[in-house]
Order: sequence, then structure tokens, then C-alpha cells
Amino acid sequence: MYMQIDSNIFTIVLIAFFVAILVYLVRSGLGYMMRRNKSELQEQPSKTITIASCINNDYTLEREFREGDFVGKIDGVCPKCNSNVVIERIYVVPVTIKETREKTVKLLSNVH
Amino acid sequence: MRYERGVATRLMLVETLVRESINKVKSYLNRLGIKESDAVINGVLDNYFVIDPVSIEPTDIIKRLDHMIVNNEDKFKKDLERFVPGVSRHTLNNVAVSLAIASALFTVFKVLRHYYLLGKKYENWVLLMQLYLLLPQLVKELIPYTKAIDGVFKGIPIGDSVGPMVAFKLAGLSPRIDIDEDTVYSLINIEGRNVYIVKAKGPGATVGRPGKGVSKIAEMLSHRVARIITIDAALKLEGEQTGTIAEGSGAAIGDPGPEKIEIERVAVKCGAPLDAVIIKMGVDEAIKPMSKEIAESIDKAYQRVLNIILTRTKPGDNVIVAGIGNSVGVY
Repeated sequence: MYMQIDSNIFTIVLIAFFVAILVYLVRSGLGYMMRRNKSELQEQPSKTITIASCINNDYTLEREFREGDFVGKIDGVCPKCNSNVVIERIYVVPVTIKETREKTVKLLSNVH
Repeated sequence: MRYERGVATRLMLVETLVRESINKVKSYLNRLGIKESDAVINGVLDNYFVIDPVSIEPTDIIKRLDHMIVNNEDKFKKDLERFVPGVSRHTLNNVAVSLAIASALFTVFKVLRHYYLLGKKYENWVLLMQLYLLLPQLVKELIPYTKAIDGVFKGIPIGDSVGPMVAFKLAGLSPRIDIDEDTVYSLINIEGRNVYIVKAKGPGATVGRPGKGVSKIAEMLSHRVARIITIDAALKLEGEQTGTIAEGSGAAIGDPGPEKIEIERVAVKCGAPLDAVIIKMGVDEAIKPMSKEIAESIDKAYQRVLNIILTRTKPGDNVIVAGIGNSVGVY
């Protein structure tokens, strides 16, 4: 009781074709599932920016957020008119892969 | 079978989010020097629910709802003060909000798990199929909640803070006077108009009680108020651009009812038109740390409010402006 398989070239090509399709489907299915699970919980790298400006509007400072910063906090004195510099905005910007790589290279060069 | 496995996988993902948020809160509490962080978190996760007041007898329903919400908040904050002694009011508010986020995530997880187990128990494939189809969207909507906890700890303004940010832009560093719990007002003069700016007391994470603040100011002014303007973040429809400003009538405030009705009642009592300025954003953007796009819309909203004050009121008028939203990271 066994299935007889013709050994002609057409049958062999057909079997090879179906096996290839099967492997492709399994691989793409697994890849899709892994990508989906990874991207759902993956955090996009970002940095928080603090914008502070002089109350007389003649000086603006942009720097990275430091813990303790808040909008309305007096953040030093203006180098131009000696008035208070007040934090006006705090927001998050996405960091591009290029920027992250540059930062890592910089950090590594500092270590060496 | 396929639905059951799919739901189980997604539920595990939601459970991971809950654990992640609880761990974040725990590490924050440890950083504050609280040794019994587990007891604090466990004490909050399952407690502090509010039962809706009886609605078949609507008399005084708002008063009853307000009473229950205020009592629950007071109880929560007093218990927290006991658990987390010696921290500033702002830090306490930050702890309260992050615990509330973790608790909300845990509740969603419990409800989803309930329906999953119910579907399995009674072999209700329709229920499981509904969950299977619903969960991908829910997971995407829950992820920002976990990310929001980091922002609250660090004191970074979130999307919902646009209202208080516009209020700050108007009030600047003028003195903040307490008017209700976690609610302040500032008095400024804009070309002869007395503008009373109400907002939640920052820079801690709180939404305050702006409705009661507006009501008390109106009472203080013997209800001689020419206009009331509310500014708040509003959910955009898919396809709309983040940071779009829109103007309408009514009270722009998304509370369960007591604060909103307070503003509406005051407006009616004063005979004052009620303007609403909204800044549109997605539900995830409203709870995540503020994006540049939203931060840039603050100037436009400020100009819109200024325009309303200058064109629709006269010098000598009293105007109340309420910046509605969470004041995390905003003075």
C-alpha cells in the first residue's frame, strides 16, 4: 500500500516547487510574527528637549532635559541683559538611528 | 482553538505591560526611599473604585457623584501620605498619577482575562473571536500608558498638559493664588481687561478642580464676568493633524461631569458666553510626553485666546480663562 511516484522530470519539479512554497510560507509567517511582537513593545529612541528664553525675548537656549526642569522654572540669567531665563517648553523628539550611532561613537571614543 | 491561542498570546503581552508599569512605579518608590513599595502598590491596585450614584432618581446626581469622587480622591491621597511620608505635594501627586496608571492597566488586564476565561469555560467561540479581533487595537492603545509613567516621574509635560501650558503662557510668572485643592489662579491685565487664569497647581501631576476654581472666582467677582474661556486637549479623528486648533462654544473639559457642570452653571449665572479652544491630538499623544508638534501648537492656541479676549471683551471687563488638563511639569 504505497503511493507510486512517477520518476519523470515534471513530477520532481512539481514536488520541489511545492516544498519551496511550503518553506517560504513557514519562514515568512514566523518572521512576520517575530517582527510584530518586537515592534509592539519596542520603544522608539527619543530625547527630551528643554527650551528656555529670556523674559525680554533676546536670548533662547536649547538643551537636553535635566531632571527637575519644569515649564516656568527660572533657569539662570540672560548673558545679554541679566534678566531671568525661564523654561518655556519641554518636549520630546524622536532620535534618528544616525544620531544614536553618532552618540555611541562619541561615547566610545571618550572611553578610549 | 486558533482564537484561544491568539487571545492567550495577546493577554500575555498585556500582562507584560502591567508588570512593566508596576516595576517602574516600584523602582520610583524605592528611589524615594519607600521600603514597603510592594505593600503600597498592592494596596492601590485593587482598591479605590467609585460606584456610580443612583441614576433612576436624578435629583442631585451631580452633587452625589462629585461627593463620591472627591471623597475617593481624598482617601487615596491621605492613604498615600501615610505610606509615603515626608515628600512634597508635587512628588505625592506624581506618585498618585503613576499608581493610577498602573491600576488602570491592571483593571483592563483583569477584565480581558475575565472574558478570555469565560469564553474558554463555556466554549463560547464568539466571545473568544471578538477578543481576538479586539486585542491588537487594545494592546496598541495600552502601550502608551506604560510609557506615560516615565514622563510623569521625570516631570515632563504630557500631551494633556497643553491647557495648563497655554495658561502659563498667559500668566507667565505672576503669583499663583490657591483657590481650591490643587487649583490656582493668577490675575493679569490684558489691555485693560482683568483676566483670571485658572489652572491645576504645578509642576506636580494633577488636574486640580478647575470647575470649582472658576465658580469661586465668579462668586468673588459677584458674578460680574464678561466671558469664560476654556482651553483643553481634545481627541482628534483619524486623518486629522495633531496640534490643530479649533474653537467652539461650551466647556472644553473632559471630566465625569461635576467640574464641567460647575463651569456651565457659572456661565449661565453670569450670563457670560462660554468659549472652548481645543488642541487636537491622538489618545496616545495625550498621555505620552509632549511631542514637538503639540508644543508648537501652544503658541497658536495662545494667539487664539488672546484674540478672543481682545475682540470680544471690552476694557474693564472681567474674563476667566481656564487651562484644563494635567499640570505635570508646568508651573
